[in-house]
Amino acid sequence: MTRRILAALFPRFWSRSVVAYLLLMLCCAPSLWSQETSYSSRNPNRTNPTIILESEMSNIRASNAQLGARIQTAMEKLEEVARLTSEDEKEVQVDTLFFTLRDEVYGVLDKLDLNSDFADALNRAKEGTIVLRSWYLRQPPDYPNREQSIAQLDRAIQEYDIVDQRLNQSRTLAQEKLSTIMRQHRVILQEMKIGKVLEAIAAARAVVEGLNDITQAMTVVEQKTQESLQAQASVPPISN
Amino acid sequence: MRLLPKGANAPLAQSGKVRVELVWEAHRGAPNAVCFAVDAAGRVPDDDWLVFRGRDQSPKGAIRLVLDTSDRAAFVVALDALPANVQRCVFAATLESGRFGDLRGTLLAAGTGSGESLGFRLEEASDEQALIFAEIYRHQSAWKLRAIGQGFTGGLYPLAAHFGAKLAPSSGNHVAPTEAPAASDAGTGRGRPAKAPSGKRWLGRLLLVGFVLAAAASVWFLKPEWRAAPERIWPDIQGFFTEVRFFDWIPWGRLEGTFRLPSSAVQPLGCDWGDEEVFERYHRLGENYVQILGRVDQSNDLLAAFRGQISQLHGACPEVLHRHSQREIEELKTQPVETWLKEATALNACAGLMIKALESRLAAESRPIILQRLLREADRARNLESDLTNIARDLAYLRNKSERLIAGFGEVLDACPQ
Repeated sequence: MTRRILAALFPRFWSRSVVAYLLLMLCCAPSLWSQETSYSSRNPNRTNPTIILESEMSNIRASNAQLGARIQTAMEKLEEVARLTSEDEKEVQVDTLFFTLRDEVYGVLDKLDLNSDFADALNRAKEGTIVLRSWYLRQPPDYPNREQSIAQLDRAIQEYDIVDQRLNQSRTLAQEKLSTIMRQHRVILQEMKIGKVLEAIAAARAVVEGLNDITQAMTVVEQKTQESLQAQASVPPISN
Repeated sequence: MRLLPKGANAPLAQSGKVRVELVWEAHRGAPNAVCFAVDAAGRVPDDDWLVFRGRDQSPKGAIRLVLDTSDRAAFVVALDALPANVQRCVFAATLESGRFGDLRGTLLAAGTGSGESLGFRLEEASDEQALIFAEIYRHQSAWKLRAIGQGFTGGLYPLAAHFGAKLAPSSGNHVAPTEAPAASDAGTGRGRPAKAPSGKRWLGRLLLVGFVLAAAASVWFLKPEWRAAPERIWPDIQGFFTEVRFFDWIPWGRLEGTFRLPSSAVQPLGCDWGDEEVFERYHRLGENYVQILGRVDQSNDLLAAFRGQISQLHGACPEVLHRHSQREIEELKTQPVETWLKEATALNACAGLMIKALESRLAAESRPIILQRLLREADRARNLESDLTNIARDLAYLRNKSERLIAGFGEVLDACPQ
């Protein structure tokens, strides 16, 4: 059928075999091009690692701000609870408040997890910096800005290490606070049941205030990440 | 003898035999003379047209290395025996240690034995370990000599690769790291006079001791904090070096450690493969990289799903969570990420050498059609280097991600013990 089509389209002036050859070349051309295709372009995350890190850092900032807002709301709520007259209503409100805070801290822990998007972005940026540094080390001594670039990349790698440490500390802190919330949740409710309402609310206030440590730790993570991005910013990129 | 300045050329011979001799001062270094017979594209027709100590004559004896001592080397070229496709004979030399900056004054002399001979004296050189001195080339029906004096940072291997020749990797062909020039080469088996007169040796030793004392005194005055706290000396010295972490899986676990490099030491380039093999290996690397990427992403999604399931569970964990987590850990541990990362780094170095070689050829070439071809090859090499850098960055990340995923699945196992 193909021959008839070719014969109909190119009856006289074109040899059918030539046309067939041209069609074959057109089909093969993409495969010839694909030999030159870059493999790294098949990575769906093939974006500048520092851009990904900045984006994840803004997610951390948003999560931190949300936790801060929740803590503030929880403190105000506890003041209201203290003024309630119904003991049952106080118990319900404190119970709900602790469940809300627990979920909030779970959310923060997810953001700070070893396999979170932020941890991935941080590591992607750090490993990329290390590979870039190795590339500069392979260049001859007279390569433009070689020493300067290596020194700046060294600083950026050190900054990333600091962010890593702070992230681990924040994660540990959030885990401790979660344990505290769960432990104190049970204790506070028991105290309310036996009439120690004021003590219970004071304990709850202490737990909620303690969560500010997490927001402070995450603020430090954010600041250190910004410093590492700045340390790397002045090195000219060699490839992307 | 008529000396030619760098870049100049002059008629040499119509036909017959030409002797090309390289002469240097033996106590300054030990260059290995080499001759490449190349075609119009600047490449040897095959590896037999690279004449050096390891192969002292070309096919049919058209080029022969007839002299190779501690202070001179000589080639005899039978111009009429060269095949028609050989357009140039390039005369170069390489150093296994030291630099051509110490061999300024080396002379290349070429002549037929009758009439005026031509020469080129090396006056400009620095840290190169390989240097092209001159070439004889066909011009209409005769041969001319052109003085070149072009250096290479690598040794024989990158120079051979520049001319399209392949050498089997051996200790003699690898690039030597930059190091201080050797004052003498006793024990290298070349029979050269290696010992300086004894009076000069004592003077040298005295100067060395004086230098060390002066250096110690100046450091002592410039670093008062070391006088106050001598225990700070070693940590401060360590601070000049960069700690480099390495990690690898071994059958019974994970081996990791650190070593220290001077912070900005040049890591020498070397490539064990020809250009086409580099591209073949790049394609294999690319395919494996894409597979590893997919596998790690799949594992990451699975871990997120397991964590979501566990957070919703009431009661015992399903056995499938435990089983699949164990399987993921086993598979992540056996992924050859480190192997392919090393391959990507090695190929990146090869791409860098390819680019340097092409840039040298571009600088020396003026013919438009050849320039076009070289530019296309240079673009191809640059794209290769760029992609290899990206792949190396991704594989370094995937190596770390695999470790974190293994830890994550470990947490799932702890949350769901059997």
